[in-house]
Amino acid sequence: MLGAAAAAALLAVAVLVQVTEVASTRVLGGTPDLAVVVLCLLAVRVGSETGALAGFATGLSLDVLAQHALGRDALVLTVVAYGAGRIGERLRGRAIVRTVLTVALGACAMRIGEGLLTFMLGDSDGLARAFSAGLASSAALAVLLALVLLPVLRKLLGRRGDPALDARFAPLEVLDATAAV
Amino acid sequence: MGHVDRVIRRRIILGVLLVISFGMLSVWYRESDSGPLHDAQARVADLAMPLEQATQRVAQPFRDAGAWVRGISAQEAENRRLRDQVRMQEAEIASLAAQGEESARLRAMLGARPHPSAIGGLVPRYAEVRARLGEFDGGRLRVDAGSAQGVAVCDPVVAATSDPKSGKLESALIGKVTQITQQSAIVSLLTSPDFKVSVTVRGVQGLLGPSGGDANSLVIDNIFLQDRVEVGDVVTTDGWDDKTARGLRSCYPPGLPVAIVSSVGQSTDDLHKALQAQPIAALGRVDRVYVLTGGAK
Repeated sequence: MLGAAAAAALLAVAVLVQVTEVASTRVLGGTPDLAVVVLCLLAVRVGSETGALAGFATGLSLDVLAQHALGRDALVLTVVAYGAGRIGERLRGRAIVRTVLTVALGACAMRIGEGLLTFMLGDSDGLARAFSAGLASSAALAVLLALVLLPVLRKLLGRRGDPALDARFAPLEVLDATAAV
Repeated sequence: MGHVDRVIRRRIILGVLLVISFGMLSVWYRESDSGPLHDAQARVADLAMPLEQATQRVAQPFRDAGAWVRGISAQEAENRRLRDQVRMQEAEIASLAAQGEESARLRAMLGARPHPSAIGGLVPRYAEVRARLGEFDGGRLRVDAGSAQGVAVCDPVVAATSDPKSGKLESALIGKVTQITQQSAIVSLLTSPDFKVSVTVRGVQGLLGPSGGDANSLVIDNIFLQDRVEVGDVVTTDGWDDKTARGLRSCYPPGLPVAIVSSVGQSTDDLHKALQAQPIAALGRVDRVYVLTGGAK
């Protein structure tokens, strides 16, 4: 229960910081995507089902706070978190490098997905922005953020494969089952 | 069997979430700005404003520390820049008189009226930036002033900035209000894909908009090859007014500084100049703005 609450609180803080502070920051043409990094780290930890639900909730929160098309980020982040969760289900032990690479992949997928959707919704520069030099910078920034946040998350939520972790996330399993029904 | 169930359940969850997302997107685009989904989104965003404010308060010391570090490293460059500026100003003073005459002559030719003041007739409303929207939102901000404070769609938004030439503090245009709720407004910045404003540079009228390639750069269209425009020229709002019975006029006041010309080239049509400009205000770091209310809509 504590793990689920901590994960939800972490995501909420990440979304707020993303919208109020980080979204307009540019480093070498890329934008650090704190919400996506935290989401991917969590999805790797908790698996694809819970990850997809968390991705949807995070995306919807971003859609509402950023006041852009409702469902845009929810759509992309659901897929990104589901994918990160599926990779996480195949990882064993600590697998730090692969976890961090998954986060980088998630950040790239988010940028490309967002670019593709904005392009399809009428922004002719959407795809160009997605595949600009900022793509590599965003991935690099995601790796840096993941390296900083991974130990914090492990401390807060426990390690994957830890029996205590399954007990902590039991409420999310119930949520998954409800959603499936 | 358990594994198959789990796979099916996983796919069902993903499918349901994707259908909900697509559904919301479709409804959001189909309904008007006052539709129930837009309305609910605006209400929730208003409710979240205290949380955003709290986050900004917590982040303020970190932001200040970052600005302090940046400031120290920028001092040396600033020193060099100021020395160069003094040298340039000496040369500039000599040509200023000639430029003034040229400007007056061009204004007379265009029938433009002199610019009375930077924020003529409009009431500035102070607002703080509550959210900065991402790269794919086309450079937008959410500020904490809405219809309850007299803000309306199309109101120009300015921020304080120091004049790059004189160092004096002045206001510069950063964008306009494009959406409002009761307590907040979305400001589309100069770099937003659909932003256009009529501008004047050295008395010549042009149309300023975002550059497609560089997210932080602007382009000025409709400036002919024979027009004298140089790098470093200040671009100001034109504030046109047709002065007929229709009463059409720009929603921007005339003479508001917008950008500085950063490069001058020749466009592919051999008729016009290809001008690029940089916004005067640091759009990425603006956190306090003034919305100029009561203007033309």
